Amino acid sequence: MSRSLTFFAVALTAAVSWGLYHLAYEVQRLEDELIDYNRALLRDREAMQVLAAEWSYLTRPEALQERALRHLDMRPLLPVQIARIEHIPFAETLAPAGAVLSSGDIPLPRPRPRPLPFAATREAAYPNSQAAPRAGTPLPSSPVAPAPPFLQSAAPVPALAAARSAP
Amino acid sequence: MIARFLQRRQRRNPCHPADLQAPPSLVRLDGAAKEVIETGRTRLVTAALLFALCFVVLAARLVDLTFIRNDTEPRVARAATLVAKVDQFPVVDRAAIVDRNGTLLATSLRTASLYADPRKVLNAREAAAKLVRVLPELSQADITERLGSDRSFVWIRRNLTPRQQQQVITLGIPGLYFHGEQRRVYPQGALAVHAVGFTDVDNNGLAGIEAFFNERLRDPARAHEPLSLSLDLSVQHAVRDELLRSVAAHKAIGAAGIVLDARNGEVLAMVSLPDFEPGQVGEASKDQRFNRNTLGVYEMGSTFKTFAAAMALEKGLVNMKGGYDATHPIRIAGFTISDDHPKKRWLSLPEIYMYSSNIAAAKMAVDVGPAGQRAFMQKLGFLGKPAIELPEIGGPLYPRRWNTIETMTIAFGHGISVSPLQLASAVGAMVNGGLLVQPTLIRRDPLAPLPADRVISERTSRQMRQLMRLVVEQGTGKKAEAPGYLVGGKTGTAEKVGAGGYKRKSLLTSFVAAFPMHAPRYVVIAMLDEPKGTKETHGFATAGWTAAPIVGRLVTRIAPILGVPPVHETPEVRSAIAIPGFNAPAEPGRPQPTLQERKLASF
Repeated sequence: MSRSLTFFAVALTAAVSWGLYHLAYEVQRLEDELIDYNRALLRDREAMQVLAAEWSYLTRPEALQERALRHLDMRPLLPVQIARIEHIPFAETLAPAGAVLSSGDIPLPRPRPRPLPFAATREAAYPNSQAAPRAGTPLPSSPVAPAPPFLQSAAPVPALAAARSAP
Repeated sequence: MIARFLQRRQRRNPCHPADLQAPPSLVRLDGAAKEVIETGRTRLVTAALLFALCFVVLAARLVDLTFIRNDTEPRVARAATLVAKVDQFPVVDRAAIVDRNGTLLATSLRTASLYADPRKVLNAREAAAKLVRVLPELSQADITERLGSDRSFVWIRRNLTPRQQQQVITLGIPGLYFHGEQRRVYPQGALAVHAVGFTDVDNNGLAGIEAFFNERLRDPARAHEPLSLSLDLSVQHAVRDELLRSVAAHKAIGAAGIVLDARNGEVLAMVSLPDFEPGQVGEASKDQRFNRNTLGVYEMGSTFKTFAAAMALEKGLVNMKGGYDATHPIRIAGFTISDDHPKKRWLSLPEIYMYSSNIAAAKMAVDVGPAGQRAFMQKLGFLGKPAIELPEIGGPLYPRRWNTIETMTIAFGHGISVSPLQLASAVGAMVNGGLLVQPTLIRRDPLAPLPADRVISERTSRQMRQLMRLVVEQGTGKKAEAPGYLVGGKTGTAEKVGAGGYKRKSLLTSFVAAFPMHAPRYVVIAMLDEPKGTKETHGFATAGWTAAPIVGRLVTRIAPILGVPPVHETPEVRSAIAIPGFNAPAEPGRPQPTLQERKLASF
């Protein structure tokens, strides 16, 4: 009785020690792993900080403007190019687009009796810019932008018409 | 003596063979022997207790180390416990500065700085030769001397790039060490340099926001939280671009520009030219470092007639149909006050403002009186330093003796010098309904109450808006028109003070504007220092030709960025911004006044 109890106690001690030993090492291993992850995280955040600074540098408005002037055929936004959603008519109320375009007016039904009050070309909009236009892309000669495709045909746009006729 | 002591001990020792001759049961302990055994037992118990106590302490420490950890432990252990909070774990010690949209204006990056312990450098000459090969900007003679000194610490170069650091490591020179440092970086360069400021090599703010918020930016608890400014970099760039263009066109020696939110005082753009790269402060001249918007104070000229008119309207001394006689120049105390665009007749208030009549403005101010004018200027914040989050703030200059002649000159903007920022916030009060809002460079909390004081009534403010719009539609500021955005403003051309009085040729031209005039949201100021006339301006260098066009172009550019929709002038809008008889039809039932009639009215 006393002997088996002793054996049992010894065996239990051995098992618990073995278990604790492994548990302790497992915890340590996991902690090391965690520390590695956290270090990597901090390193990545440091890298992100560098990248954020670089991004901010590369997207300076000055640099973007210079690049846009060199590579894009765009001009600064003008007041007449901005319309509210309620200014856009429903498709079936539009006059035949040809008439709108040939009148030289912008195909938006906003009252605008005077001639265009703004610089009509890129050079005029940016007089002191040195950027030469890209070869082979002539600047738009007319200030009137081409009408979007759905305005160029007199027929109402099917999708819009369908949407309007739906109950 | 020692021998005798030992002998006695031996005799007394219970473990001595002499005492163990008989079996214990037969021993009768009493007296001295019993006492000795008791002593021994007590000593054993004491020792055992002491050991037990030690083990308890050890166990407690073990529990403390394994279960209870605190933040004073080294960083590696903290990294393990900070899993949940690692997002707030600052990478650097100084918080970033961003604009209102979160674009980075200033940030800190980790770098390595190279230093040496010259006593450990074996061959200074050879080490210097090697170093210069990797860091060619260093002078070999200088490095040789530094490495040959008998000090224990010399800087070689601060803030190496990672590549340079690797190259130095590869050289394998003994006695060289790296010190991990943080370097302040300004990705936007010169764009907002006067507002943001810069730091010294040890990351202490020396100017601008960097200096004003030095403590806040260094606060470890808030290092991960960027400081959000009210500036909008797109607007800032537009202002700088337009000013640069005008400075080049008119060969001006400097320029300043401000865009201010008239409703809450947020500064959206603040540009002072010439400027500099914040990374190269050392090479910047004093003129480049000078912030003309807050530190510079100038006699603003005719833009001050805005305040003369508002003051007279507010006091009820004149209304929109009233006016003053501007036929003859005023002669007072040896000075002559005359008009630049003399009409030589009676002028109504809108005409006074539109044609910028010095004579009438002076008469208007005299009617208010020196004390009243002084009080009004005080209310507008012209007699104190403006409160903005910058250390570079210039106090205004105004006469100590404020009598009739000073009142006259101040009415048209001479004799008082204020900063463009003060002018901007005062004009904001003129157009926003009469509230003077403290300007700020920090994004305002929309829920916090606005620090604002009423300076003029709603009614006067509406009349001021009409007057300012009239200047752009028909007066000296026609070039500031931006179709669709209803710009209103006032030109100001001041002669700069030089040796022996005002210099006719060196001008300071400014245009102060607001838009859209039916419900003003933004105040815009453009100022040119000593512009010259060009062929396009027919040789004129006045504000209407030099400063007003900047505002016109600028408003067209920034309004879409700021989300201001172009306005179609419906009759309601028209009636809000137009003055009957000038840029609107006369009121029904009243004949349209002609210039001749109004001239006769002075008799």
